[in-house]
Amino acid sequence: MTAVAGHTPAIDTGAASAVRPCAHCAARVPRGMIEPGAAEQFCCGGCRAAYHMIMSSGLSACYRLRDRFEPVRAVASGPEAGAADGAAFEGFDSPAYAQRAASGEGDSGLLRVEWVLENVRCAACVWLVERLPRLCPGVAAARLDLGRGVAQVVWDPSRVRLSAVARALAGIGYRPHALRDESARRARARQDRAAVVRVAVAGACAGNAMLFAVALYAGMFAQMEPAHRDLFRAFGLLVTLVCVLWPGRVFFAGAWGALRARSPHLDVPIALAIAVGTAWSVRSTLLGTGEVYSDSLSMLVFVLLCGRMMQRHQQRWACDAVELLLCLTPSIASVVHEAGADGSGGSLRRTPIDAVRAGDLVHVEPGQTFPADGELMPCVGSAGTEIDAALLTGESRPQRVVAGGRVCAGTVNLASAVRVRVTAAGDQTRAAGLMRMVERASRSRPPIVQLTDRAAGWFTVVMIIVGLATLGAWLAIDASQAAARAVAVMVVACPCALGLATPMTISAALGRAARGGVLIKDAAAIERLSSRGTVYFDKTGTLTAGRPRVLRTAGDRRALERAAALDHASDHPSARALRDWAGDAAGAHRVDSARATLGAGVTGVVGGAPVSVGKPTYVYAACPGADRLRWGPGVEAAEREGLSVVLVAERGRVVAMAALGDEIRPDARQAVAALGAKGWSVAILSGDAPGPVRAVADAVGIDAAHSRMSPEDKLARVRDWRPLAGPGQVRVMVGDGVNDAAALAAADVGIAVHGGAEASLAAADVYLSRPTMAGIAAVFRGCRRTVAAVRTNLIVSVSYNVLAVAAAAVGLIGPLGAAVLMPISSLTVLALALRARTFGGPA
Amino acid sequence: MIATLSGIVLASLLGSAHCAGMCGAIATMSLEPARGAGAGSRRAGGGQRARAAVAYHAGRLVSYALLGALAGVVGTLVDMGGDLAGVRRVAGVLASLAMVGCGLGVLLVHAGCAVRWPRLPGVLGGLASRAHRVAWGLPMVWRAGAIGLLTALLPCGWLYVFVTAAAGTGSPVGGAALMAAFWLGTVPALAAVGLGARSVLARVRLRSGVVSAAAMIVLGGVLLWAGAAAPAGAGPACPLCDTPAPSEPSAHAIGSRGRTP
Repeated sequence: MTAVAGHTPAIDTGAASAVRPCAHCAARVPRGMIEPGAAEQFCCGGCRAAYHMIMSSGLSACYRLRDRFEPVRAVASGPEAGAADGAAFEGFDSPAYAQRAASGEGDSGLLRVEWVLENVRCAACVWLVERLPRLCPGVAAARLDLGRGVAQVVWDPSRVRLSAVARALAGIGYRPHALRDESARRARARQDRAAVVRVAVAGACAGNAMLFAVALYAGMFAQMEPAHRDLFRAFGLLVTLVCVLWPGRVFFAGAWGALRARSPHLDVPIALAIAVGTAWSVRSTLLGTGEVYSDSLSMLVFVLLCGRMMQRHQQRWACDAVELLLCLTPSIASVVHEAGADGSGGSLRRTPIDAVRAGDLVHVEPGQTFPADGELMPCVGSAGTEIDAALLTGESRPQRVVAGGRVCAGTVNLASAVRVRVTAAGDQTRAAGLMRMVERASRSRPPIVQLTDRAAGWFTVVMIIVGLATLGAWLAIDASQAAARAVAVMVVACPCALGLATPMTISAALGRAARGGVLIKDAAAIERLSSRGTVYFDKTGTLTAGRPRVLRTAGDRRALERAAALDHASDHPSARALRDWAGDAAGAHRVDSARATLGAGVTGVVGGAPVSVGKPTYVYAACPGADRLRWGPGVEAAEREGLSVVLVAERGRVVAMAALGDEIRPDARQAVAALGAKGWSVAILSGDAPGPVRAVADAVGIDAAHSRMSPEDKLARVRDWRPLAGPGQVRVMVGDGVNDAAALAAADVGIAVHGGAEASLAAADVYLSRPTMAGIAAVFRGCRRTVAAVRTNLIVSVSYNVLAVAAAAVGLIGPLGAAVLMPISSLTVLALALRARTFGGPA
Repeated sequence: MIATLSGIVLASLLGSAHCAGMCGAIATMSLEPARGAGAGSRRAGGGQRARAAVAYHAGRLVSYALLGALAGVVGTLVDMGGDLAGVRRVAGVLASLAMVGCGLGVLLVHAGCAVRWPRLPGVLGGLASRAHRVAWGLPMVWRAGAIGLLTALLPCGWLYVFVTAAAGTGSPVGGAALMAAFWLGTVPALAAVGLGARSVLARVRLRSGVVSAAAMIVLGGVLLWAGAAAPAGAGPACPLCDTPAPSEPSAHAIGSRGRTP
């Protein structure tokens, strides 16, 4: 307190200078107020109270400030004030930002950047933001992802600076922030908070306006005095004005941005509606006659804001539903704290995956998915472990990894508990790179979405016209109803549902597909796969399992089991097939010795008897006295079918035969039939010999089978494909992501079933992590259902809008009813979109 | 009406040196760049300062008008009670007497007598402190507006004299109008404080207590006389313009306490 006393000004207080001036206002303290001995003197009780209030608020600095005699500088001119705003965007022009955030758009010299925008609210924002090329010359394209509020801007650096583009966006009301920027997250949090405050204020206003309205209605029956009636009306109006001008400001701001961009926006009709209602209420209150909409107006603003907030939440939720990385990696990792140098010991702490950093040590139990890329530590599972890396490499057999070996996020630990030193986490991992490809799909705008976006824009224009026409018509019929009718029409006409329906349905479908192991890189593929045309299948690994199996045997079964035991050491596919066939029986035999001839066969001693197993030529060579005539016809017949034959000789005599072939997938026939039923013609493109190809074709029911095709032949076949029956047909290639890459890329839709997702998605549009024929059929079915869901949602939203507008225009729905119905329609469509059984449903 | 409001503006202007003392400190600080902005704070442009000043005064206007309207409602209720008891314009008379009393009390204090003033409830002070602390965290222009809005919570005797007068109008609209007139009178002095003309005001303020006390007494007397001078039996008068309200409710009925005979 004494410190503050020191700040009191040395004002000449004349004769009374013995007493300090008032500690608060520095006026002379009247004699009647002097408190002898007090550190602070006050001229009045008010000053005393104010002083204590200021001190208790921690604002003692304001006295220091007051006492500093410093005239305020002259008022700055406009441009300087604007400069502060502009400075925020200068950072976008720096080379460092361009290098970090911008990517080239082909060799056109254009660059592309992604920004998080503020104030993205609804489908009409998409339309507005995509007008950017018209507003800002030098911008080639702008695309807005509604759910995430992320805009993709393609611009020509030689014609326009990026900061100018940012300013243009801010000018129409969407302030951009750099992606992955702290400011973007803060902006989002700030917006959320502001939205809550707005809803709260609007709610309070609406409640109070309601009270006044109730009083007015009650007064109508109880002969209220006109003075009181006017008073209540005035209060109601006051509260409403607060509601319209503060929380309701967002609608006017949105409408203003739209008008500046000269393109229709959802907020235009709403702002118009609120303005009409307010103007009418003010007029009625001042004249003391006519209807006052105070309560309805503030309620309207409240309900609209509530609806908007709900929509925002649901959109975010939908967005998270396609948060694809989460489909592949766990959301929680066990991070080891205070571990020894070799990674052993320490304590485990469950940590959200976002918080895992390079250098952390994570513990992964068998059966768990690795949360990040890293190196295996030598501690716990010193013998290493086995992992399933099918997602990245396409290799579905377990892979052995030893200490020091690399593991990737998204692969599965199969054998034993291990600890991994993280080298890359989050969006730095290989899996994240893969997911970025898929994520881009959810942001790309297939033609059907672009169409509905345009439609939503035009819809808005039409609805404004209808609203104004309603106003005019009702002014002529019954002026007292006109404002309410027009307000109702314009509010209920919101094309939100229309604009949301399609993109949300497709995003949700992409998410569902990803969870089912189907990664879709291009959203347009969904639309194409829902039509009809030709599907080309690669044979090996697609229609067939991709590795040989024992299809039939002849001769001594026990001899074959002994041969399988002999094959124990061999990694040849035929040997593996024989082992698989024999199963546990092979382990019952003791192998005394074995000698393998690479790619031909094995000779050795099993249970004391000499055994040879291998190709016929090898076995015949090993047993010169073998009975060729006896086995010849069987061998030839099998080879004609495209099967490979293994003979077993014991003690110089051929005793058994096994015919090995690539087994056709059991669900192939059914899947091909399902495709045919939906109007697809199916053909096989295979590099194999005609015999086996024909056999497979017959087995699964395909007529057109092309054999002995090199990758180039396949490409030419796909490229030169002509639709069989009219336009609108598409060609689809299903095959190996690596060997058939060219054909996959040339097709309208390439579906990769092999070769690892990473490599496959470079060429193909769709990747199946579980390559079954039923899965392929399910992709087609899912796409068909997605497009059907899109159509349903469009029909629902359009007919809803048309019916509601008609009802509002004739007066069946009031403004408040309209405000309640509008978000309900959007939420209905969102719910339909998210619940649609697109991918992953039953057949 | 114009006469009454002009009188209010004049009285407010005369006493506004007090306002410069009471609110000057806070006003000056609310126009400063944000706390903790450090050396860069000087960058806050003059344009922003001007916007902040406008926000501050607009905030004050809103809060004064609301306070006046509230007082007007209280006055209306008092008048209604009076009407039931068969006494006309109770609120006006009471308010005028209170103002004269306040003025006399201030003079007594200056003459060296210790006067016990009624104190505002402590809850209000606590609320004001908390609200100020919140307001101080806002960005500059918003902060200035919020501080302006909170002015009505300052325990300023001078302000409450006019609030009393507003209650005396017996109409919310009249009360709000009266407080708006009061606001108008305070703008020059507070704007001057913001612009650094403090030293001039400091000299004026030395005598401000006596001047404002005199203004209170005169104003109270004038209002009391104006109320008494209203034509008796001619029905209630409009509190704003002192003309008798027409017997039919009309467009002008907005502020009338229209009890049709």
